[in-house]
Amino acid sequence: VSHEELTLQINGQPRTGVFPKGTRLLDALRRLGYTGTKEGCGEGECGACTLLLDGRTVNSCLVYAKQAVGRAVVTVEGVGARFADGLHPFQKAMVETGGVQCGFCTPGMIVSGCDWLDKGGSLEDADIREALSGNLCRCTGYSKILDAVRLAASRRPPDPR
Amino acid sequence: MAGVEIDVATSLEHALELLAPADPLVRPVAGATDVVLRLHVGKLKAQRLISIADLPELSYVKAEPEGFRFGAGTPLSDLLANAAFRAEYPSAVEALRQFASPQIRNRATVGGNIVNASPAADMVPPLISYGAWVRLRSQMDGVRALPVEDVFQGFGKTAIRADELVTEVFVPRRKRCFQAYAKFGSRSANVIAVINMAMCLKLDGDTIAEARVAYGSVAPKPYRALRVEDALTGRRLEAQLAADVEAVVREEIQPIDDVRGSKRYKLRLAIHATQDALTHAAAEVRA
Repeated sequence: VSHEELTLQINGQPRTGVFPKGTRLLDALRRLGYTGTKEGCGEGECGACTLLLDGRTVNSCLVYAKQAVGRAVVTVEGVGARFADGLHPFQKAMVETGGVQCGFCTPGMIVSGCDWLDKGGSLEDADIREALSGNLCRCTGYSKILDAVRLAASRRPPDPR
Repeated sequence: MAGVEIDVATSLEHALELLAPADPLVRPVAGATDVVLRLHVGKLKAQRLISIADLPELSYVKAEPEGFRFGAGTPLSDLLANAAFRAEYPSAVEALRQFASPQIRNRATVGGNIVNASPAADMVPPLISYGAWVRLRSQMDGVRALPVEDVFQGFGKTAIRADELVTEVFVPRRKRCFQAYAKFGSRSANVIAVINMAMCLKLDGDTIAEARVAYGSVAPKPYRALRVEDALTGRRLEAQLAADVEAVVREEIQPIDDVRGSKRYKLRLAIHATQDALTHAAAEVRA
């Protein structure tokens, strides 16, 4: 298999690597050291590999790395970057509520949850469930994850509008 | 799959140029949510992919007097978020809401859901029920258009040539029509339909002036049920209609046993979905 050099914008930083042609974004990231992004099913079902591509959640197992060139990639390592302690309020809330058990779904769950909160998503139970419907967790039964979304939202500064 | 060459098209014209040799092993790809997997398991043969993902020329939603036009590369989540579209096409909105997951909807495109030619495609029955068209472009022919139901020739097989791209979907105005969509699956998210169905009725009082009905997962391709449509056209929305339609659906729909359900179960669901839609239509007319 022949290789090609690709430069990706990851969490605001340009990162260059040489990858076999047809490499998925998920594999490119892990080879570049961004191992927070996990491969669960590799079929776009479980959401463990969720990240933000140009500000939208996507399954990185279903995106070719080459399709991400020139676009903004934000991984779980980057979602809290704008906060003083480097953690998004949802990450802290997940720790507090015990929304993490085995931890494998957690990076994807964090990216989807942070995205929902950052976009000012509704806190109705059905809407949170819908927002996280592309992320499967086999440990928690989801209730503590939903609690974490609500806890993080309750600490959100009031909307200035 | 590791090894596949990917050319990222920088414009629609560039994509058409790259596809012009009409090599069957060169495939266009947008959101890639199905192509990555099908290539990986060997269900799709391609040596080279032309990525048309994120081309702005293919991503738009326009409301026009005679209908809506949207770019084939419009992500499903953009269509779902479009207020004007939502107001007029509730059955498509229901199909979009139940489409896979937020992550997939952010990446997968309307055109992709059509050209993928899955018999279970979520968006296709509503589009057929609206009488939607696709616009195709190629360097050789310029532009041609096809009714959505004529795109499909069999399981994963389409009437689209290797040098052609679906660039646009056109949906006629259907504001005053009764619309219904039903999807059955083992759970409510990220599921492939056991069957799905869409119905669009033009009503004259409580009489059906025109009916379009399409089912998914009951045949090798998305299926427009002409006999069911004929049986509904000209009838009044009364309780007897739901009873009468059962025999027609039973005669027309011939699903097969597969991993998602038995032939008998799928037929039962198709009958139920059809009757349920007619019951709702009758209730809507009375209200």
